[in-house]
Amino acid sequence: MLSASEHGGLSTVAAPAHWAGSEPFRIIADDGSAVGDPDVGLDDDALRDILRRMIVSRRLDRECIALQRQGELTVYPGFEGQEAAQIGSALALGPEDFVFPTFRELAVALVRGVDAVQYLQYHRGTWHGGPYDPRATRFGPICIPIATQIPHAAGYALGQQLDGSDVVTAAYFGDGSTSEGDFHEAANLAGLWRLPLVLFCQNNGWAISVPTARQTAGEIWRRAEGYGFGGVRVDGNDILAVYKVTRDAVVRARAHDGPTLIEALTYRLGAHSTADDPGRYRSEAEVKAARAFDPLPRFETWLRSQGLADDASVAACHGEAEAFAMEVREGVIATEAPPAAWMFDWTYAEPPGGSWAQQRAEALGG
Amino acid sequence: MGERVFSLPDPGEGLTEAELIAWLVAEGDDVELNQPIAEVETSKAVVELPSPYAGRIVRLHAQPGNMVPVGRPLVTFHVPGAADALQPEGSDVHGYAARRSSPDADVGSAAPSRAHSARATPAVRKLARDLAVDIGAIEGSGPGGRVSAGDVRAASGTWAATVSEDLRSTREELTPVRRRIAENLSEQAAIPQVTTFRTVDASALEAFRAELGVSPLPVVVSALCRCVAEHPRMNASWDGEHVSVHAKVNVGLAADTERGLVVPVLRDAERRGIGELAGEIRRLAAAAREGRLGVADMANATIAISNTGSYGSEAGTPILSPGTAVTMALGVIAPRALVVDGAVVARPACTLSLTFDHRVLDGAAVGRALTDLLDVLQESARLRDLPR
Amino acid sequence: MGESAQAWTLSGALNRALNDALADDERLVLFGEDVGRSGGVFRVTDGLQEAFGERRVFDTPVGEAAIAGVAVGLAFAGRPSVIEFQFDAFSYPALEQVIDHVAKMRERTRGRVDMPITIRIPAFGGIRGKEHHGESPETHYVHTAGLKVVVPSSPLDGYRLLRAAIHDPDPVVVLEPKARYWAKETGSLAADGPGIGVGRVLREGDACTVVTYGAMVARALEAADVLAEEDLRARVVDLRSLSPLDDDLLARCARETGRVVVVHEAPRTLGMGAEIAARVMELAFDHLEAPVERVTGWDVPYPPASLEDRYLPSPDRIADAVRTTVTY
Repeated sequence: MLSASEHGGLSTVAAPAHWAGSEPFRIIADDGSAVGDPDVGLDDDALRDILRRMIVSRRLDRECIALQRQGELTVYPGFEGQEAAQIGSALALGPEDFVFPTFRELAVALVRGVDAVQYLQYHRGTWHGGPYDPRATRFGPICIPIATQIPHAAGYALGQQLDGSDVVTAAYFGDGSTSEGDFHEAANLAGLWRLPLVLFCQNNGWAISVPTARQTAGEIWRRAEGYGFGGVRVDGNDILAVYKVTRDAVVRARAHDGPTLIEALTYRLGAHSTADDPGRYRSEAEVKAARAFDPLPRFETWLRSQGLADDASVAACHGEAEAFAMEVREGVIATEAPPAAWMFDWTYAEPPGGSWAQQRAEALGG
Repeated sequence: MGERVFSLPDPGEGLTEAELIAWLVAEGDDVELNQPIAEVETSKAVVELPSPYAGRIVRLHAQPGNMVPVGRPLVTFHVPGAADALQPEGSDVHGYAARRSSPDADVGSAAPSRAHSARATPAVRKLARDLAVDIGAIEGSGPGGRVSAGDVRAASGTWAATVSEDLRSTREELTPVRRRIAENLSEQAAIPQVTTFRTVDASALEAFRAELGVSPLPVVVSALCRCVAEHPRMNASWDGEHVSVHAKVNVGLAADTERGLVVPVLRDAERRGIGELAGEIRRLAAAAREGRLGVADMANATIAISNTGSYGSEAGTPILSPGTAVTMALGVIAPRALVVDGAVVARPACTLSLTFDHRVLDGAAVGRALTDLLDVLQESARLRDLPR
Repeated sequence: MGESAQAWTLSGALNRALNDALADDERLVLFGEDVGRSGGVFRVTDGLQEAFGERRVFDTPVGEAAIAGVAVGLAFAGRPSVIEFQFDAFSYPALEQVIDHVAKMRERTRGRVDMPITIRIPAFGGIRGKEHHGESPETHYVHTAGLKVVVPSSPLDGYRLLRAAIHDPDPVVVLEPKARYWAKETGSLAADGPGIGVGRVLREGDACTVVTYGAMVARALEAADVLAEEDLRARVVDLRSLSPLDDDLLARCARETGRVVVVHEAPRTLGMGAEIAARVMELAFDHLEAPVERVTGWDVPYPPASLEDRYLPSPDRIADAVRTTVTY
């Protein structure tokens, strides 16, 4: 169970290495005290709801790791430590706005209303991509090939521009993605065509085993200038700050004022995935130090200081999280392999005959 | 109280085994869902396995230090309120069980068949199977000892056996056309076919065709079309699964040319008069002689006539022309001693030889058709009734 | 469409196909490198930007992955697109997008999001091109489930195939034989006729079937003319569609002629010839009178212009292969 007491107050340890350089935009300090204006346009209920979402997301993430260890999920990429970056940014989007995620955005998916069991079919190994309806949820298929979803977001944003709609598109990606050509090509287009696009980078310090310092020499947010639009660096573990900068970027995009690159500094507290052993490349001490910057206790402390949370309300959140995790667990375990015909049935809108049809019959024992 | 067996899942991506480092629980312990129960080390990482059930540990199936294959039972639980599961790990959605076993099965090697050592094309092997010939026993006459269709036929007795005596032969290289003709004929000869004969009193026919100034062939073709109208199965083909009876009558006319036997096709014969048939026959014959026939000129015959009389032959046993169920040979018309009204008289006469595909037609049906055909050919009035 | 017969180049017929498709579907967009003001390096998109405006026909920066990726995003937004990769070898930077997303997105979204994307690629050799301008990339695309792949060999069929590709709800790669862009054919352009997945017999014959596509079709017909003088009637099949392949036609021709020669420019190993030989074996094994012959480019990088003629299948090589199978 999580509580503010896990790290207790102002940290005396150093921030993760990749946070060095330009000071990120911040509203709540890591000890839970406000250092900026916490009025970001969210009312008390919305603020209480944020804590609930953070607790529920983290609990589900941990359940997923257990489910993988128990053989119920295939490899699962956890996001513990990145709840503020994911939930804060996702809450800043409007209901019609469209998200193109990576494979680590379960908390974003939950905000978008994607059914968790449907989402986890991906990791259950019962379907690829998005078994949920991406158009209905406005949340694109889970995307593994690094950075390839960013050009999709640019294309979707271009579609909105051509249609004269005011829908904003958000592309999520990590620090490693910014080394890919697809990031560059899409960012270049976004600047050139002033696309209504938010490029949201969660710099969690690690691309599997390679730290950000060995990924890129500069600061990621500064790349925006080269593409001819604005960039911003934000404390990705400060959920109000993340909400604020994303909201600003969305407003700009909606007003046809072009794209924004957001670098949210966060930290991947867990392994890259359940198949990864981070002990091979980073120290326990580093992770322990990063725990001091955990976004959950920070926001809970601030919320309590505002009188918007107490032991009872926090306990209620944990209770809900527990129940939700169990419900999802049951749903995941109950999910069976789809019919073998589905290997074939969605490949083509107009399926070929001949050898292809023959193979289908062969595969289905016909 | 139900028992549940927890088998070792793949803790990474495609790992096959893990070493049990330590048990974090003992037999008889009560455990919570997701409570760590064991530490295992794979070739990728050390991981804690959380309990998949809330319940009591009945049995631990491995000792620390053991390598446990993925899919092997690890822990048996008593789970309150659960029914006994028939199988460990209910759904096995990831198919670990199936993936696990890969015994190095000894694949028994069959004795090599002699048939496999023979050199032959797939088409020739098929022919050998159809004729129940052991292709491995045949000495091939082709390049490098390759067995040809002819070799297979010879071995099956379809053709005369090869003679081993030195006959001081000269060998003629086959031209591609000659080779194709031979192959086609071999293929056609494999069809179960029967030839039947009729003598025709050609008096009326000779008088009629002289009057029209045409050869007997167009008249016979016209009479045949009339016969086919009454007996449609004469104008049919067999494709292995169906008998197709054709409404159009395309008459293949076997012609001997310098390049070999060719069969130009007189199309839509049923719609043409005798004069037009005669013209078309002349055109096709000239084209065949000059080698000007296109592929379309030689395709899709539905019935065929070989004018063997043109080189003096009295009767023949024609091999069915491709695609037809009936191929007829028209012998030479010459005076013969016929019995007419009980007396022997000299009359112009000829022999009709008719080969039919026995899969499509039977003898009685063909007999009836031939009788009708002769009725036309031998009666002046019926001949005059044919379209001019 | 519907106009009287005239002489068309392949480039002109494809241009007209794009024009007519843009006119028919106002949501269709066309983009790529130099397709706008310049009209494309082979003039296939000439005049389209002028006719349909910069919002529907536009130049992109140089970056093929983004061109393909943007088409995927547009498909999510309900817009079909025609994209161009300027030359065969320049389609490679986009392979990740094409293989991972264009081809698979329909399956990944369980049929909810179609990818009505037409990928045009000027391809193949025979134009004395520079390095990387003569590649035959078809195998990469044919090997990717979810894509369809067509190769026109003539202007009138080019029009028909490109219209069919744009109309198809599945992504279609159109490989345009550069060597035939300026070849002329007289007739009326029509979108109806044989569609994707259907091959055609261009020359009847019973001695052997020559199976080919693209620029090699013209060479196979030349070879067939030479062979006809020797009384060898080679049947010439223009596949038109490499994925799906016309299995019925392959089966029929192999059965009827008993002999098959496959011709393509791509290197021999794992080229289309390998697949066609395998299918002929599956579909017509008992009818084969000779092994399937392959007349192909060699297993070497595409050679410099001065050696091109030693690399590409020539009518002589094709005719020789037919003679070999017929006298086997």
